[in-house]
Amino acid sequence: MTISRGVRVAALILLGSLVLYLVLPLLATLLFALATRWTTTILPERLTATWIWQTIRESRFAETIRRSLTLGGVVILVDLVLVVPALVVMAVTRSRWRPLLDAASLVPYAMPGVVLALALIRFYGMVFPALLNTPWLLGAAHAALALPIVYWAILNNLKAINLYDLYEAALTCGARWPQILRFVVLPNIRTGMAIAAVAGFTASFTDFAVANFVVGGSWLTFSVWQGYVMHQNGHIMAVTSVVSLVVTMVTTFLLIRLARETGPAPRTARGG
Amino acid sequence: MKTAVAAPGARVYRGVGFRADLLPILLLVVFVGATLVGPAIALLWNSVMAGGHPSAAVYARILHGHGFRQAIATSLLLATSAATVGTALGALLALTLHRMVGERFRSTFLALATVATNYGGVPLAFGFILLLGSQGTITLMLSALVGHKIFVELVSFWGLVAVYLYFLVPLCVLTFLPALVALRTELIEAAAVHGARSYHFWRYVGGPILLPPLAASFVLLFASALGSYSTPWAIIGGGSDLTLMTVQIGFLFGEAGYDIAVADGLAVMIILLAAASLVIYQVLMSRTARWLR
Repeated sequence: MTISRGVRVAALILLGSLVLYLVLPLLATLLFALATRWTTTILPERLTATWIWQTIRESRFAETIRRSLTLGGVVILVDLVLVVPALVVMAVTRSRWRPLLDAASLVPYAMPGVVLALALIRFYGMVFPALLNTPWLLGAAHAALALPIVYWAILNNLKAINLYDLYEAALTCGARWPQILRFVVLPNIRTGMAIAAVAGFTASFTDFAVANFVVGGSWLTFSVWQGYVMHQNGHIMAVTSVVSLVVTMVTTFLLIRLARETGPAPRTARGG
Repeated sequence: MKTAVAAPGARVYRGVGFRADLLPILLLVVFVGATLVGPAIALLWNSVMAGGHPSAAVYARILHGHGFRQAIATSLLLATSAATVGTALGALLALTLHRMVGERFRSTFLALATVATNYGGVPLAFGFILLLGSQGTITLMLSALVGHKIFVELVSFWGLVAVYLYFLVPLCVLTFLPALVALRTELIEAAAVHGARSYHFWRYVGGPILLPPLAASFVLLFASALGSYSTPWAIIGGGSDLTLMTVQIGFLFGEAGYDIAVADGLAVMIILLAAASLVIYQVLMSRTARWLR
């Protein structure tokens, strides 16, 4: 069955249009970040780096970037500490727990950001009000948000290395649990942990909905600050958007590189 | 998975039948309970209890309130429309990438698609405002082209669909493309040998194989669109009659705070819809997996 010339041309036009559709908003944002003035003309009047310097000089910029980076790091750590031991134990001695853990890992997909935020605020408002409006609750929320990504990245890696055989071989050689973990498990799931870390970090860094409601202005993250800046200064907003784009591009590049070693790259997107 | 054996160092607590190696699993289960399941149950509980008694008053209020009914209808229609258009375009693009372009272009495009699915929320909305807002580049270009001011209505149902497609179409491409591996060359050749024309191939071979993954992509896109908050929040702002369930939830408990019980009810509805989408997605993907073995 051959593809006719007309169908081929139409398909390639569609593909070209989508590429344009994906690139144009990014290009417009980049240009606006560099434009002296761009209000009534089709293209910017002149280009400048003023807005970049002004954004960097904003006290909130460094503060919120630092917070979001720290939060992303903590989220990765919490998820890896929770998921890696649980999945290793499941893979070697507790395989019957697999359906429950699989189901648990999918729960975040049934709770979009704004719903998760409301649920946490309502629940902890009843059982532990001191936790409300704290970065601790946000950290827990983001760890829950990134859980499916981390869980499936580690599980896919564990499947690929056939951990049970390695475990039995290590036992035969007289290794104990700490040695097995350090010298057998962790070196073999390095790639899975790296994928989980990058994808989990992106999920935390780009989240607006959960952070906006769980901590809001009391502990501004970079994404929430963007939401405020959008209504104050478009040029600074454009510069912060370029920062988001760079973070997204770098993490995507890392994920693709890492996925080449194990399989397809995990998606971090939960919708806008 | 092979038969489990006891791990060395796993301490056995006699009489209780509890082994220490269960602790990491329990820790993960407790975390999910404390951050997801417990809070979700609290939402459900709050939405069906009034004054200490079971009550459907919250849901009655939602269904009788014109604004809430409209938010539900708009959310469902928007998610369905965006998912339908997104799946149709995404499937055509995935087929194009699968059959008509080289490996190098495909890899570059997939990298761009991955960036697009992850670049959502407020920055994306801002990018579209720069293009299609009242002073947006495309708005000005179109106005210059026709000779009078044209208003592209971004704060509208189809305006939101257009923005949603930015992350939904690439999401569909990324989920549907791997399923196209099932469309093996042998199948196409076998059909051709038996004299099947293009229509027959798609009607009896290609269609039935690709329908489950296509439906799965639709369900995924629907759930993604339904749960979107930051993009519509940034586009709609406060000055429009257009309202969605997620935006209403944010408004009710975040900004207005006058009827949190209704926010609970709307959130429970979203959880039920998203959970149903997830179950359907899993069933459809397990059917797809048969053809990928």
